[in-house]
Amino acid sequence: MGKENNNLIPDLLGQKRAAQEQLLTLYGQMVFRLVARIVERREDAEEVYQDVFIKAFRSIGTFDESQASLATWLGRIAYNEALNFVRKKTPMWVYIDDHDGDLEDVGDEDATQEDAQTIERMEQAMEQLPPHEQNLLSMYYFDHLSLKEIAYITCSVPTTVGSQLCRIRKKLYQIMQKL
Amino acid sequence: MNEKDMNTLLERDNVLREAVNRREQNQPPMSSDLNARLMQRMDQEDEKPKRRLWLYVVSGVAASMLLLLMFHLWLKTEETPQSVVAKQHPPKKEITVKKPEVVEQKTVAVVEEPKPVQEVVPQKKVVAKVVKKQEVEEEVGVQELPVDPVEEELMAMTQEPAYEPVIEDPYAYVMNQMRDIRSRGERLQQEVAMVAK
Repeated sequence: MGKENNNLIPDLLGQKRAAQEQLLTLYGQMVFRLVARIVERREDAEEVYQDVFIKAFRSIGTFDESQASLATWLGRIAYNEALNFVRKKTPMWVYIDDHDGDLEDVGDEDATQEDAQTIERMEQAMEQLPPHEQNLLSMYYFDHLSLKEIAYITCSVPTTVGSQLCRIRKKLYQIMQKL
Repeated sequence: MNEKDMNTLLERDNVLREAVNRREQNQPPMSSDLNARLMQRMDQEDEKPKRRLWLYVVSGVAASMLLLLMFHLWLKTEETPQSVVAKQHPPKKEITVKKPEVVEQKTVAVVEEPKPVQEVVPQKKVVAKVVKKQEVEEEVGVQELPVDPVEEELMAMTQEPAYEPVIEDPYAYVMNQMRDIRSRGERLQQEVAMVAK
């Protein structure tokens, strides 16, 4: 976060092409990963990616540095665009609360078993999660975003994001037991 | 469980962290030309509003021209009925001009008719009055004056037109009166000549 130079935002406000290209270079990969986690088809993900940056370039005036970094702001646009796209395509999701079984049964000791087989089973279990839940895990474990940043992107609050992540984790272990 | 506890629990889960990392690394990378395509799309979208603006301007001008033309044509169609009516009116005016000529002819024709009536009536009256006057003079026994009856006759004749019921043409009436006076004058001269003899 905060990889941009000081003139980037003023140049983006001035719709300068060089600044736009710099933004793409800096945050393109991050935005694409975020979109691709939610939008499964590659072509669709690329389309959403383009929509994200076009929207970002046009609404750069609404960016407030005091609220979030430029990366987090872009992440929020990408998350919303991707979710909107997916909602149009597939209206139904399996949410954590709708899942059968008692999540409280999963013990924390399972997390300590760090062998390859467990990790592989975990990956398989992750495949069964809805895309937005996979995205939450990726933002936390791979992008190393804080709960506050994830909360900003998902238009939520940090505690809610924390509890969502805990539920997703427990759900994963439950799925693993069934595999 | 508060935010810190949740964070601690999640941070401790290395299996999940490793699984997420592996999964992310297996994701195919972004296309190398995606950013170029994005910039190209942006250029195209920037041109679209300009083209649309020109289209709106041209279509707006064309529409206003068409409206003006239609208004002009409408005004013309409004004028044509008036001109048609105006063309139809003049013949009526010609007829009204001719009418007075007809009226003049009528007045001339009417004037000529009363002549014989006016000439006949005074002769009868004169005779009657002369007779009456003579009778009165005989009764009173006043000296006869040959001129008196003629004067009374003249007076009576001059008064009579005042009682004429219809005077259709004053000019013709005056002319008739003059002729009448002339004829009486002639008769008076004859009578005077006879008295003198």
